Amino acid sequence: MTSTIPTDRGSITPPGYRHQPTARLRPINWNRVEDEKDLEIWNRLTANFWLPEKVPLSNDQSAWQALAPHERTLTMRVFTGLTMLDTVQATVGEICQIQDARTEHEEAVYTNIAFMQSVHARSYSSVFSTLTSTREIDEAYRWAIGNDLLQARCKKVLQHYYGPDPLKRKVSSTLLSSLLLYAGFYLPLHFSVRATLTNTADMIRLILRDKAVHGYYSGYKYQRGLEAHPDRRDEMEGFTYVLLDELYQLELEYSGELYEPLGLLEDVSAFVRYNANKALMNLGYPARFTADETTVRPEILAALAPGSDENHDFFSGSGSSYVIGKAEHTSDDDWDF
Amino acid sequence: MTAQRPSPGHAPRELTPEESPDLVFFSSVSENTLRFIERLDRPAVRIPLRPRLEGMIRVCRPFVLVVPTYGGGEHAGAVPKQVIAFLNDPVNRGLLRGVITAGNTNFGEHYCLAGPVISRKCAVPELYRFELLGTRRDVERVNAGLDLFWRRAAPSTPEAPTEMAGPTSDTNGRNDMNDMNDMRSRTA
Repeated sequence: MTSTIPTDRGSITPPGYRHQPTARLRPINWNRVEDEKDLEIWNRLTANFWLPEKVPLSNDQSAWQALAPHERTLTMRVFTGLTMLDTVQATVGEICQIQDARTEHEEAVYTNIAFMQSVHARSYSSVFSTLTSTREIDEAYRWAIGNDLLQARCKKVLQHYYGPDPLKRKVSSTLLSSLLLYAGFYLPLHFSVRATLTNTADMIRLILRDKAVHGYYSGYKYQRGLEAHPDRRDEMEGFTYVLLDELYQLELEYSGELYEPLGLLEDVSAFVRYNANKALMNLGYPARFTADETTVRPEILAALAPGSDENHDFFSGSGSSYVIGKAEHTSDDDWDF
Repeated sequence: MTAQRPSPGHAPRELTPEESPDLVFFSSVSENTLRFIERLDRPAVRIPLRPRLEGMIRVCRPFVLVVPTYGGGEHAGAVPKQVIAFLNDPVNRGLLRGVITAGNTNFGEHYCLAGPVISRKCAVPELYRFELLGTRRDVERVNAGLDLFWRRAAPSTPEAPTEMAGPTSDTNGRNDMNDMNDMRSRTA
């Protein structure tokens, strides 16, 4: 027994211990990558890494004071709601996909994404501690725990995270990353259009960039997983559209409660539909809503991509061009014409 | 490992005029861009995913390039390596007439970054941007736009229009060049 030379044949990665406790364990080998997407996404995630401490949120203090009390309350509730979703995703949503990974590198990618979701969850706390008081923060958290719609949105995906079906886990995770958060993201984008809380908006844009990669990756792995189960194609497509509709309805109710008083519900809904389409596309499905139903106010789309129109003022501490560890912009074979 | 690779100077596979359509695209293993191309329902050739193994291609007719944008902030990685390899062939580069790019507005100012990068490097217009797999409207607009683009290019073959305004301008100019801006949109 002890004389056998261990090979990688029949060996398992640590999550496999649960079902095969006697099998040989294999360390991750990044020099033998089976799915090139794993390495590509890992590199993209690490290149995009950031921390809220690097965003000059304190520059938003005077803008915060200038907001009307109901706008401040709305902001705190929206951000506490976002914190809730990121907490779900960091501690359960990403981690639960490790057991279903198709490659050992996919397992590692989820640990990376899970950590980043925790960074996102923490970033809202940074906004709170910079701009508000402990009393207001506690109040917002009480609101989150007591809000039935917020709870329902989370539990709708949690039931699948803890369920028996790997494909349903993937769909739920992709919909959370690509659909559920956007009603919340709308508010800071709306404020940034009015040139208020612009540093907070910069932080949100960093989060948006990460979410695009997270949603893309789960959606991509979902499609690989579905390829292995062609018999489930119709069933899973049906499941996806039903879950999307249920989550979309919850989004409308949740957003109605928050945004109706500001008269923003129509536009928030369009933004949610626009992102619902993108969530479906990440999963490889056609868009569900028509172009007319997804027409978001152009200034909100402009706020997504401030780009060249933005005045990059190094001294103001504003501007979304924040980058860390910026290395060479070219490589050897880049455009060697 | 390296012994299996063709040498860097390995000759590309030359496409015959019948094999060389006016649409060339790249799609990664996620195949998002491939799906968009399939819905356009017009002849198109794919840039090989693994050129070192499969060999690169060399086209022989003017074409529009459809590419996804990689990365999210770093210029270096915006254009897929395979597309760079394809365009590094002067024959291919000389036949490029325009570029259409897939991306995600979540990447903000780097949305569809590959488009302007290729447009500037190769002095061809950036024709259109779409997100992920593209919506039905994107498919319709690109199909109509490509028809128009090639119709306009036809009388003065082999040269297609090569001058265009900035990638996100939406001016409704009256002359032929500016009309091409109608093909372009930031989002669906």
